[in-house]
Parts: sequence; structure tokens; C-alpha cells
Amino acid sequence: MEEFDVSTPEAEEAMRAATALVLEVARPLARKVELYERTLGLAVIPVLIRRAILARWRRVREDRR
Amino acid sequence: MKVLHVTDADLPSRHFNGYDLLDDLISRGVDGKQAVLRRTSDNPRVVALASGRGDEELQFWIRQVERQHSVNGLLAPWGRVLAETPEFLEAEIVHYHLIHNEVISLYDLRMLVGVKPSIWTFHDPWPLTGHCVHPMGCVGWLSGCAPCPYLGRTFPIAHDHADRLWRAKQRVFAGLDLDVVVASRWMLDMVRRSAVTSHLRNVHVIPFGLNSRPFLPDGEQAESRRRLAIPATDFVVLLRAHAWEAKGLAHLIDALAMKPPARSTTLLALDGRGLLRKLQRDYRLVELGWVGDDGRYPLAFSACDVFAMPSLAEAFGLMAVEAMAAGRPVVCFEGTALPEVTHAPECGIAVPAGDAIALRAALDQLAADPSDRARRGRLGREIAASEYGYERYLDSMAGLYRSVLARHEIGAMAESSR
Repeated sequence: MEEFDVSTPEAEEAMRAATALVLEVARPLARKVELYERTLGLAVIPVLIRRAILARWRRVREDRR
Repeated sequence: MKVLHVTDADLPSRHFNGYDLLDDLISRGVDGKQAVLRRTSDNPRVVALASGRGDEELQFWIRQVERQHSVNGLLAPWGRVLAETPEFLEAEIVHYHLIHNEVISLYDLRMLVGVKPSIWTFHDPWPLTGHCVHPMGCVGWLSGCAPCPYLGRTFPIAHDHADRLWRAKQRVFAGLDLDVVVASRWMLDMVRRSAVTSHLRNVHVIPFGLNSRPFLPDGEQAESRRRLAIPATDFVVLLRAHAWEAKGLAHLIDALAMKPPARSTTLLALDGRGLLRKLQRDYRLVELGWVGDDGRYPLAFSACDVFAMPSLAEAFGLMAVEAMAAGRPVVCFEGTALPEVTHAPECGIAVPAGDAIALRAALDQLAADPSDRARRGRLGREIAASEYGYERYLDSMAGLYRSVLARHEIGAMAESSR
């Protein structure tokens, strides 16, 4: 891209193709990435709850001893 | 008449990005809608182009790619999205505003302008330069931006492709049938001198009008100062604290730091906080931060004696007009639209760009002469009412839309009769 002259008619065609590609490929990809990030955050919650319950249970058991 | 305004966001910059025109032009027969990247209002007349899931990430990615490859204003895909919206399809005129902020690729703009009568308000000289928003003293834009000595200026590029970007703009504008609006003769002069845009026949000078910010009468100054905890007897300099080089704050700080003031002085700062620490020994600092529509904006103009606007680049300068409407003299730099807008030297005071000594002298002169301040304030108020009145602005915009539509209809009829 460093030597790519964006001012030529060929570059104009390439750039217009690029904006079309951004919509066709990159936009759905960005949606998936966003969805993945969001659901990954949700997936962590049960793990944290389990850890909290276990920690509480251990403390209670310790107290009984 | 259906007009679609296209810009980056709706509420920020609403005074000049077409948002306020949506409702305010209805009475003049203009049915306005707005297409934006980021919608921040719940106005049903506003449609978002990039509000889907992941679009924010996509914007970020495009910005990174453009920056890394030293491309600017060519990869944003939202022009294609715009072309398919019902709002675009039903619009009789499309009015573009702040579209260089990753809204529409210039090459897509050519396609859009080809299918709808179009107007573009140049809010800054970006359409005339390789990559920067404001050349700020650099004259490279007159001869093709080769080489560019300021790659880091907004919008920054990694490699010196400014000349290629400049030529790309020249190619795009050569084929555009576009009406251009500028808000000052200063900006018109740049458009006329630029090899990118000098061929454009339909360039209109329409200064922005003031509408929604009520300014308090002079008698309210003491109360305004009390509410802002500013001593009644202080000389008060209002300024906008913004770190962007184009706003020239560093020059104002140099001017104020030169020597302690002759009389007790308060610096009343809007926008940024913490940028004036260097001055806190000799001045009282009152930093209001970002002031929206919470009532403190007119209070600040009412409380001050003078408005310092040391911008090194302004294509209009709405805040200067607001100060004039509030009856406060404006001190500014030459080389921008501000001397013209503030009617310097009769009303505003303009000093050579970047000259901190002259800037300080102008402020000291106003501090020492209350009658000169009052005279300039009165004149400013008259000018703001006569030249920057909102009704006049609305009339001008409605008239422009009518004339553009009529010209295109005549053109279309001529085309079909061939």
C-alpha cells in the first residue's frame, strides 16, 4: 500500500471495491466478534458463582471444625 | 421539499450540522431528515447508518487501516449504506455536512452526487488539502501538498501520501456537480484559490445563524459572576481551553504568562480542565469544563469582559459570534475567518497569528479601557443581530434549497427534451 497511488482511476475502482468488501465481509465479521465478546462475558458468570459458592462452603466447613 | 442532511452525529454540533434545521425549516416548506453514523438523540427524523452490532468495532478497524496505510477519507463504507436507505431514496436534495470524519468515502461520494442534487457545506478546508483539516499557515494545498511537512496533523498519516490524496480529491471534484456552502468569505477565498475546487461554479456564502442560546442582558453581569464565584471587580477573560493546536491555547497561555496582570484577573475557561495550571499563580482560574445546555453557557458569556479566541484556524467561529451577541469584544488572530466574522478592527481585535506579545497588548488595552469594551460590545451585538440572525439564516437555507432544486429540474427537463 505504501507505493499505491490512490489518485489513479484504477485506485478509485479498487477503493470502491474495498468499501463494498468492507460491507460484505468485514461488517458481518465485526458483528460476530462483538457477539463473541459479549457471550464470552456471560460465560464467565456461572464460573464466578460456582467459585463464590465453593469458597463459602469451605469457610462454613472450616468453622464447623 | 424533502432534504436529507448527512453528517457524523446528530446532537454534537447540532447548531451547524443540519440537526436544528430539521424542525426549524418546516415552516418554510422544507421537510428535513438526517442520516448520521452515531445517533445520540431519539428524534424520529434521524436515521443511523452505523448503529448495528459490531459497527463501532468496524469503524475503529477502518480508522486503523486508513492511518496505517496513509489513506484518508477513502475507505468508509457508509455511503453505500446511505444510498440504500429510504430517506436517501425519497430525498429531493442531499445536504452533506461533516462527512470527512470516516462517514463517506470520497469515491462513493461521486456516486451519491451523481444520483441526487447535492450540497456540501465545507466546515473546514479539508476538501482542499491532502490530509489535514486545517493547513494553519502551510501553503502546500495551493500546489498539491508535496511534500507534506505536517503528517501528524489531523487526520494524521504515517507516510507522506498527501500529494496522492490531494490528487484524488482533485479527480473527484473535477467530476462533481455539487453546490458548496461556506460560512465566510475567508473560506470562499480558499475555495476559489484551490486547484481542487476553483472550477466549482455554485459556491454560496451563508454565515451560520444564532438560535438557541439566549444571552443575558448586560445588567446580569454581577449576578452571573456571583453564581460562578467570580469577584465582581475582577477583569474576566473567557476562553475555550482545548488542547488541539488549531485552537491556539498555547499562544494565549504564553501571552498571559508573560507578566502578571495589572489588575486582578479571572480566567474563565470552557471545555477542557487542567490546561491552565501554569497560570494559577497570577490568575484566578474558574474552569467550567464541558458546558452543554445546562444554563451555564450564557452565564459564562455574561460574566466575562472579553472573549479570547486565539484560534490559528477557523472557517467561521460560532463562539466569536456568540460572544458578540452577548455584547463582549473578541480578541483573535489574523489568518483565519475570525477578523472578518468579528469585523476587526472596528469591533473585534485581530493581531498577527501566533504573536503572544500583540495578543497580550490587546487584552491589556481592553482591561484598561472599559469604554472601548462597551463600544465594541454594543457594535458586536448589532452585528450579531443584523448579520448572524437565525431567521435570516433559515431564509438563506430555504432559498438555497429551492434554487438548487429548480436548477436541477431545469437541467433534467433539458436533458429529457434532447
